[in-house]
Amino acid sequence: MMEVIMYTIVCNAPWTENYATVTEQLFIGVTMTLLGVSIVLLILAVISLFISALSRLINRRPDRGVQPAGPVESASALPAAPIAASPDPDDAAGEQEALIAVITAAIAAFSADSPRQSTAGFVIRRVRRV
Amino acid sequence: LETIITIINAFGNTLANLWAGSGFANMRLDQLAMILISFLLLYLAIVKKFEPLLLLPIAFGMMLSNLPMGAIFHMEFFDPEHITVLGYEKGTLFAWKEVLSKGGLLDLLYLGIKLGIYPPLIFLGIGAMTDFGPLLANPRSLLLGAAAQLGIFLAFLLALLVGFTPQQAGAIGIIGGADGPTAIFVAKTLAPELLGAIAVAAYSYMALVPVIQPPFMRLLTTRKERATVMAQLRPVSRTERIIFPIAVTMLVALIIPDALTLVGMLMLGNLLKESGVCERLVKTAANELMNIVTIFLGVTVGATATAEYFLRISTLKIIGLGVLAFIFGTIGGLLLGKLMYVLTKGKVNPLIGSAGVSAVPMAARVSQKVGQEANPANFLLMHAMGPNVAGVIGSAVAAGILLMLLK
Repeated sequence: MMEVIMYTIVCNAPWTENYATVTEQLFIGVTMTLLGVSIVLLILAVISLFISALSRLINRRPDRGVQPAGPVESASALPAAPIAASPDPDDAAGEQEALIAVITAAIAAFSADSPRQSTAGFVIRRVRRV
Repeated sequence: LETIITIINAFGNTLANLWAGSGFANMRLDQLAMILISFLLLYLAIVKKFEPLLLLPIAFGMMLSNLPMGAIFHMEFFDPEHITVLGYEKGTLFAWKEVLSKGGLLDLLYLGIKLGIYPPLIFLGIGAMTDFGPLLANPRSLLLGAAAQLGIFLAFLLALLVGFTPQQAGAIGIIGGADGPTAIFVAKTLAPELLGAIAVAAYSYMALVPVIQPPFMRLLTTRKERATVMAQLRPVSRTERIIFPIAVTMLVALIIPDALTLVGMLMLGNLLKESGVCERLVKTAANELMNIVTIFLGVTVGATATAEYFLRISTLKIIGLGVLAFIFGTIGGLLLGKLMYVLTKGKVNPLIGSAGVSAVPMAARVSQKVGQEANPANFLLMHAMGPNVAGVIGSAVAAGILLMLLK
């Protein structure tokens, strides 16, 4: 359908002629600007709608291959390093876990803008006593 | 004595012939000016590090083709008017007999541009390097990538008004897409005689994004808007990442067939990456192939900037229109960003709109930097990457529209 419309425009509008008067140049230039921006917006809007529909469809069922977007992806794509504190024989395992939980919560609270904001993707790789 | 005089005369004649055949004796002032311009570009690439991967080969190619008597490149073999004079049919791409019999190395390498091979291959590499995750996580950012293409069409309008033909205006307008390969792809089809100037302008302005964009970003947004912190992006599934390039290729190809070459290669590269089963091909596309093509593309585009074709008033006009195209593109993205800020009640930082001009990832970095000036705890980079990669798709679509209407 879109192609038919485009074809009609191309066949009827003499885009490639050289226009002598400023009025003609303005007319063809403004028409092209409006047409071009509208088509680009339309196509990208269609893609945007498609992506939204696709994500709804996919996320409706449990997905095994979910990856966080952007930088989080690169962090999670790395080999899963064990969450470990630096060797400290005095620390019991339970204390380490509690410490890591507190630090994670602190980072999340610091970086999150709102309580609803997801903190998924944080990976604490190393906790070291200084 | 006569023998000595004869020897001296012969020696003198040989020296005179050597001098007459040397570049020094045949150097014209306009060629010297072009060589000096190439030195300036080399300086910008090496010392100032302005897009050195492309600006350096472009500058060196420019120097090579302007050295007299070198015969390494003949722009006239690719000039439609000259080709007609040589007796070829109108519409012939290049004087193939002359290229094959008298052509230099760069004439042969230039066929990669003339036949439209290099830009799509660069797009293949870009696709293999691009993470569309931020775009998939926030599909609305595609609209910002579309709005930033406003610069292309407004520059087209201005180019018409200053006396360029519609085809030349289209080729000049595409500079506003801030995408070198796309600019070359369109220019080689619509206005091959302007290719050198357009490529140099496009790559120079891409390097100058951190200088051109920030004043307009600050001018068009309030401090409160710039300080907006955006919510973290949602996770994106592997299935989405794999379906995206296939679906976009099909959608774009069915609507704008002329955009298929660029978008198709971009999405092929991305599918190779996201499929996770073509590691070797991804590595080749994103590294070796991309680097080889970049060298060929840069040096041959630079070579097209010969004195006869570059030192014209039209070049100055192109450089002026190019910067306006960039500015309009930035403004278009920012204005839609502001609209989104209002519609979402302050959840979208308008600064990410300016990243809608392609220039990946430079424009996104600029959004991040300006955002952090207003709020040091603001991390806009990944949010800006969405419109940034959308800009690549948007400029390829805009190129398809221009080609469809003007070629």
